[in-house]
Amino acid sequence: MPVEQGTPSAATTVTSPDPAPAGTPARRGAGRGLGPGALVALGWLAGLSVLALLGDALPFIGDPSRMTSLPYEPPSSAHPLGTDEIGRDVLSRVVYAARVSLPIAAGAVAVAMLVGGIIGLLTGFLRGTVDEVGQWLLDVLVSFPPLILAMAVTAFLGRSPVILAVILGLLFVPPAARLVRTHTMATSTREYVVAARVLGASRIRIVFREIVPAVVPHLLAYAVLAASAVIVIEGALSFLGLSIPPPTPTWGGMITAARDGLAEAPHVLLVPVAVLFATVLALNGLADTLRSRLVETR
Amino acid sequence: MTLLTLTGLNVSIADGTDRIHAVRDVGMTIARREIVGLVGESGCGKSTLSRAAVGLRPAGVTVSGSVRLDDTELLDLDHRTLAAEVWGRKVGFIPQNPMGALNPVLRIGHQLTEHMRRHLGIGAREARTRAADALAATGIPAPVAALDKFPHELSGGMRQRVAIAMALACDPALLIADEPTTALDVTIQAQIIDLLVTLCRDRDMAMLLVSHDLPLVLQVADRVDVMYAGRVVERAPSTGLAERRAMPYTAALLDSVPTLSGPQPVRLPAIGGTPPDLRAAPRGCAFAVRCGHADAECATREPTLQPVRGDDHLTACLRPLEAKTPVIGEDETAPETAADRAVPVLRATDLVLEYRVPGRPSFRAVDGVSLELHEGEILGLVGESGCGKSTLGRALTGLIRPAAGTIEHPAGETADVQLIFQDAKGSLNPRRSILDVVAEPLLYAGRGTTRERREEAASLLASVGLDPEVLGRRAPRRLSGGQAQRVAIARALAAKPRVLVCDEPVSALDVSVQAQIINLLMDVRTATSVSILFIAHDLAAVRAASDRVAVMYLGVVCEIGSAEEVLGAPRHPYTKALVASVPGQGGRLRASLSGEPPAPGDPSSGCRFQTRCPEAVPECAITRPPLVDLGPTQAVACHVVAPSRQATGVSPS
Repeated sequence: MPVEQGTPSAATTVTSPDPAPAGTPARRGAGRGLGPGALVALGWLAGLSVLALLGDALPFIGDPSRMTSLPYEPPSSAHPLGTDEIGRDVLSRVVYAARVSLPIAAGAVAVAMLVGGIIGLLTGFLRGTVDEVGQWLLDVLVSFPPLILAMAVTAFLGRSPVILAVILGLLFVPPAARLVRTHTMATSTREYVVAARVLGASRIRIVFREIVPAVVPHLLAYAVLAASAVIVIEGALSFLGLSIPPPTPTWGGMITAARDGLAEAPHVLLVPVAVLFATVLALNGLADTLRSRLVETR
Repeated sequence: MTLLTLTGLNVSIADGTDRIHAVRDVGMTIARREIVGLVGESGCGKSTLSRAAVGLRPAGVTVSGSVRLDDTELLDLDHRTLAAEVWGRKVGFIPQNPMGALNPVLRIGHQLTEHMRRHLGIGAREARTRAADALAATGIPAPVAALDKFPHELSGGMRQRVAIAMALACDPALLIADEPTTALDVTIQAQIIDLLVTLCRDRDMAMLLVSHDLPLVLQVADRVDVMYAGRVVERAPSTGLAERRAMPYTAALLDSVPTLSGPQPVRLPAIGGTPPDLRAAPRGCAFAVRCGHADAECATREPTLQPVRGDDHLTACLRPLEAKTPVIGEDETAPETAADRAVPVLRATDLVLEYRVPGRPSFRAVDGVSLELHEGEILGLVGESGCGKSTLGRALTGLIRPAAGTIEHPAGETADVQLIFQDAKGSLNPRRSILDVVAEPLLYAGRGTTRERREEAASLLASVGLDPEVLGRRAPRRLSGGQAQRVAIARALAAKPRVLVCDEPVSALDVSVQAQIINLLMDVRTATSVSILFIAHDLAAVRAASDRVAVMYLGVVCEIGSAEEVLGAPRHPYTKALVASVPGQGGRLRASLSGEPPAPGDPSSGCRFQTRCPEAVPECAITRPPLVDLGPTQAVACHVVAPSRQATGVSPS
């Protein structure tokens, strides 16, 4: 093959005179499997959600409030995980509790990511006065002790799932906003964003076509992490009796009630603890996987 | 007397499931007091070889063969023994990036003495004295005071001197310098190379100088090894190698480097293609696919190093060149361009650009620059880092609002200045396909449907020499540096600009690719009559590309004129110094400027260059020299060269 004399004149086409280094691995990240850990975590969360959704449509799950047996029954064929202090089916209760915890977590995360994301984008992109006011607002929000804020508001406004989701969501607005702000500022100075400005892209276009796609993966990974934190806090609130009131089952409420019978029937306590633990662990693991897969590393 | 002997050295690097055979069966010797240059494009294995040559084997790197330093076989020693007895002791390293090599939280003195006390077993006081001596030997002013400074308090050139002092501290017999000046400005580059050579001669040290810059190496090294695809392909004394080179690769490397001497070329000879993938051993000569002289045998038989012209000149080539054969590129006559008519398309008048940092006085990066860019012309803008050339370029694209002065577009509206970046890959959104990247400006302008935009993008890609069928769907990360720059140029052209501001467009690229990109820019200019502001620190590249050249120093233009005038017969003392510090003009390298630029933004009165100027007169400290015309095109701002009649009437703004 002859040596090429420079580049062809501006009208002719040739195959690239300067080909990429051969054997560059295909797109890193994308296309690789999720790995066994993440699959187990996903499986757990999906399974729990399906159980919670189907509820008593399933043969082994009944009404969580009905006293169907004697208190503190050990696991049996009628009650796979035994019965609680007043003879209710533990499996049914733990599954129905997911109907409370998971939607609250999802709602809270949605509030946090939406509000935090918008604040972060605005402050990070506009800077200046907007940024100063935004930071001050976040500082105010951060300075409330989270549990006490939640207690005060639920005591005042009542304990509905929507109110809980909003309160818990507000707690995660400041970190989400800061995360988005940092990545927005970092991305705005990237040369491809500067290039888009020079090429005549409007500010709206720059935000939605250049910055948002770069920031969303970071926010998504954080959202999953925040979901696990919300579940823990909701558990703590219901343990303190500040979440959804009985007789609706919650994991925290089940743990509180089971304390008295700990010596007699430890499984009644262990089941909600284990489910809570596994759910939080699954979400944390998933957040890690998401971060390493979604977030571009260059 | 042989100091270092490499025999049958093979280095392979783990890369996922593959292994890259970065160095393949290399033998080499370095005698005491000898300076050996190691040259090649990036990815040819020269850095890997220089590390393996002193026994450095990081995780994932396998080294086989033999490395003997004096009478010690380094590959038999473990990491701990090497660190205690060889590295820093018998072998000194000079890094490319001294900031990375110095610990930012420790004072210079601490870092220098720690090293000496460990290797030489001397006390703290003696170590401090020796450290100050070492710093003095590297030409650092006030060495004792420098001991108590932190790395960030020193300039890049000074940091490199500290790194050299560290390498010298224990009187090693061998220095390994891996691209020691690549990160530095030209005038500082010349100083550092001068220093290294002087130190080697004075202290009886040998040096392995690894560099991509063949003209530089030819000037300072006794002997040169040219590497390609993990092998040494030519080995010869550096004297006269420019004419006597036998391997077409060496010739191509020499030819593709723009020079400051000789006629200004119409096109630069470029080497097509890139070095091969070294996962599998190449069949035949690794260079054959890029070589204009290859025949059927080259494709099947891999040559070994054989003597060609005398015993000390070896080459691994089946078809070695005769001495002085021009390999690629013939002179053409320059096509007439619109530049000859001098129609202004962009005019900056008394432009002042400032950066504001809250709580500090604003920093003036550009201080009163007036410049005119003509239709279809390529105007080179040169100067050392911090001189304000990039800031000026960005202001012309509208990214920075001037603090004073005006930018006019006599020929059209304002949105027609486009920007090309040094980091081409970073300027392409990693989440889009190449085709969509190029179509971006069409989308912003609201032109056509997605399909029409993609079609236009494809034809633009074709016009910069890329195949849209092959590359259009790819992500930017899979492009080579040169390809990425072509894509960036195609994208800029999609906006139909009147002016292209190219900010160091080739300085991150290998010389062979540099030449391709410069040629492309010249082609684009001819085809579209776009005007180009070519910002670079590399004078030879600027000369190759430009019709006119402007030289900046600390925020002001000190000389402007045709490329032939400014770089061929410079008048301003600063331009003269810049030109003199470029290697490859025959003769030894001269460090023509001592000292470093004062802190930028320091608004001392008078001429900005007075602190380093060898010709300064008292007048220079008082008033700022205005640009004075010396001829129809050339103008200089200097009291000595071009005394201004009404000098006192010019306000130093």
